[in-house]
Amino acid sequence: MRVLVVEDEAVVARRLRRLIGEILGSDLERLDVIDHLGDAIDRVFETPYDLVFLDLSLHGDDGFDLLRHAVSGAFHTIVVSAHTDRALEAFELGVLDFVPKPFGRDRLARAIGRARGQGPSPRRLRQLAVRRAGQLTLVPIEQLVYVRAADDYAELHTADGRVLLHDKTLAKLEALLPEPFERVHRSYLVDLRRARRLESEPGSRYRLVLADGTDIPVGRTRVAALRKRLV
Amino acid sequence: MQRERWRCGVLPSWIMGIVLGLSSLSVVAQASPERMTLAHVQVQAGDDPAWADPAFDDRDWPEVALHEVEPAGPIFWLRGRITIDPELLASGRPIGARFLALASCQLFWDGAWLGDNGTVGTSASTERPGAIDWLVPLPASVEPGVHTVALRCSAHRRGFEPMTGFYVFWIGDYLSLADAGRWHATQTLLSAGGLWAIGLFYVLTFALARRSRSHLWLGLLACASGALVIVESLRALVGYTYDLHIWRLSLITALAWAINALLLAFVTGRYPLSGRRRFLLVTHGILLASLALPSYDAKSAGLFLVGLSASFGWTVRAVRRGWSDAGYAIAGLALCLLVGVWQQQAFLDYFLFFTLSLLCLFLLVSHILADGRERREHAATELRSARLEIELLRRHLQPHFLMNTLTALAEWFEEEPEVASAMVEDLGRELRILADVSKQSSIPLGQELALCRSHLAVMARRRDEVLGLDAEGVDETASIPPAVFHTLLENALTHNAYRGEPASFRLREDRRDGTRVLTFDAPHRPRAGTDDPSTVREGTGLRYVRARLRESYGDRFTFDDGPTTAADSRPVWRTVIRLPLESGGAT
Repeated sequence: MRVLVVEDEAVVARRLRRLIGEILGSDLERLDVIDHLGDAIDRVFETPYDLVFLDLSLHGDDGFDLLRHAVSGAFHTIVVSAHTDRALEAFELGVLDFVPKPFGRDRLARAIGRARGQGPSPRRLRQLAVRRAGQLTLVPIEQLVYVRAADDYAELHTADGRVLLHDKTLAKLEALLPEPFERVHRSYLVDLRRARRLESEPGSRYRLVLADGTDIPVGRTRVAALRKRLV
Repeated sequence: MQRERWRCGVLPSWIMGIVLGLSSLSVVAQASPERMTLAHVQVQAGDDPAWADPAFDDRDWPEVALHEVEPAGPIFWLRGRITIDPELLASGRPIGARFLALASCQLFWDGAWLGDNGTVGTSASTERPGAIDWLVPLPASVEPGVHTVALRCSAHRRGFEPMTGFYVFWIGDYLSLADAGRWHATQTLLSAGGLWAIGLFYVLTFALARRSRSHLWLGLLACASGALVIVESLRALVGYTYDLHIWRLSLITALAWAINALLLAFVTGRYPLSGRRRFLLVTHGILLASLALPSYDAKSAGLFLVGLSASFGWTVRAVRRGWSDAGYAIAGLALCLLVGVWQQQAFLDYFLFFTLSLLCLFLLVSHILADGRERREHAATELRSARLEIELLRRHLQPHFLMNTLTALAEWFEEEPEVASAMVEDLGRELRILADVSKQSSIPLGQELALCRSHLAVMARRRDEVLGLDAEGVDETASIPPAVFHTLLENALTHNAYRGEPASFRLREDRRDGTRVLTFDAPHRPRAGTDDPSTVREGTGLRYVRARLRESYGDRFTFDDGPTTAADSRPVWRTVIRLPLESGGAT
């Protein structure tokens, strides 16, 4: 796992470095520490990190601006902050976890566990930040119809017919998108509120027909669970 | 809301003022009942019983207007003729003579003895002083027509040389002559009572509630006005022998002086403008000079003219300087001046209690308004202090400081427990000093430095930096508002990265030309990304510093900051605070 720590307090950064090393052990491929995101943000996006620990003082708006950029990246973002009163907002922007200061080893291990797909995810995302040519586009979750995997990226299909490319993988988005979004296929995440019916095709293949007429393929192993949810 | 409330409070004062005004006019209106006046008399020094005889030929005696009569000898006679109108006798009611004079006398009516006012004598020892206001009934048998009045007088006990020693001689309806002063007396007592009530209230408010001196001056002013009104009316209220008249006049002059001195003290204290001492010195000089005027009436008139117009000028200045509530005082003073000029003669006799009551009312209104304003300002100041205290404490309870410190502590505890213990001690010391100083508006500089040093110790451990404070040669006993340099330090730590190289902060103190100059240098090594919340915190930090300085020094401080190069050619962020040197400020 490739990890970046953004923390300007020397001793806190040292603590993060030490604890992350202990928790990940040999799984830690690379660990970088920088003391602020600011101008370094583009460089951060070019480096293939899996996980970024971000200390933003979320007191002013600047912190949230940076956060919006960070969550559009391919990596998962975990906020480490003293400002617990703004945790919910951070979750709605798409952070995977919010670790309040001061923190101990257990809390940090739980956050890293989430990043590795262990344990429950927050799934409180309200809007998706999409980076396109350095510009941010915010897509409200209500606008999102389904998400399709496209190599290391994900295609966001919106209700008004737009298709946007997100840097995160489908698996990472699944950990963030709220409850009505369901993985119906290896390559598809769908807002089930928009599903109309499940149809079978010859060759025991299934497809989900959405309200706007779109057909989404359904994985054979997921049919039973999906049927239960649609009833 | 506020304005409404004041208006409600002012309304009763207006009603009271109008009532007083109308009642005083009614006195003037009914001041002349049916009466005949002896205008001119023949005067002769000497003493001869034959001079009482109406048939005596006094044609070679000099004729003088009654109010210009001077005592012509140890004993002297006045002879005059007065015509009784038949109408006066028509009602059949008793008639009488009223004589106002600074003299003892015997009255002969058409040659017949009518009465003694005191005992006429050839010297002060043989004379017994008569009443200054003497009323004697005329015989029931008196007929219409011309009558001869002869007055045998002596005036050894006046005690001074009056402008006029003889005021008036009236014949008229006995009862209405006796009653003439009653109305006047009633209203005199009424307004004196009102003035004393106001006066006592404010004197007691000053003494018991420890309010400002303006309360005392206004209280004494109202009391002195009440006293003057009473003393002015003493002749009508109680009567007295003429030898006491000089005491009454002296008392009136003293009270007139006191009223005007208090009036000046009140307006200059209530509206403290520049040049107060010189103004008072000059005005009191002119007040004293007006005591040299020839007559007692002139003395009083001079005192009032000087006092009222000087106070008027001062309050006009006050209004121009923004004390809008001084407008009421101006109205009252202008009214008094106008009445004084318009009714020069009647001012002291008839209008005094009216104008003094009204003046006190107007001053009262402006005082209440100013007092209310001051109380609101005072409350606002207290609120501001409380807010500053909370702001200072909150900065140390705010998550950024507290949680980062605790996280660093956790790390030290796990890795190097001894460092953690030392850091806990430093933090404890910082919080303790902070709790001590936050309530105060000023602390010794030494305490401020201790606060800064414990903060630096905490931050040095938290940030893994080497931080120091050099404050050589500053006067640690001099006072400073709390957490001023502490806040500057915090700002510097937020904005700069001191990693790698030790950072030393520097405080220097300079005293010149009555000014204390405090120069604070923070090493200037700005962080690469200033996207921190620091932009917001800088604002509140500097606002706090300015607010604290203003709380202690008003406008008598300056605060400047900016980047510069220190003597050792390193870049620093320099803050220069100039404070007044005299103890006046932070206490």
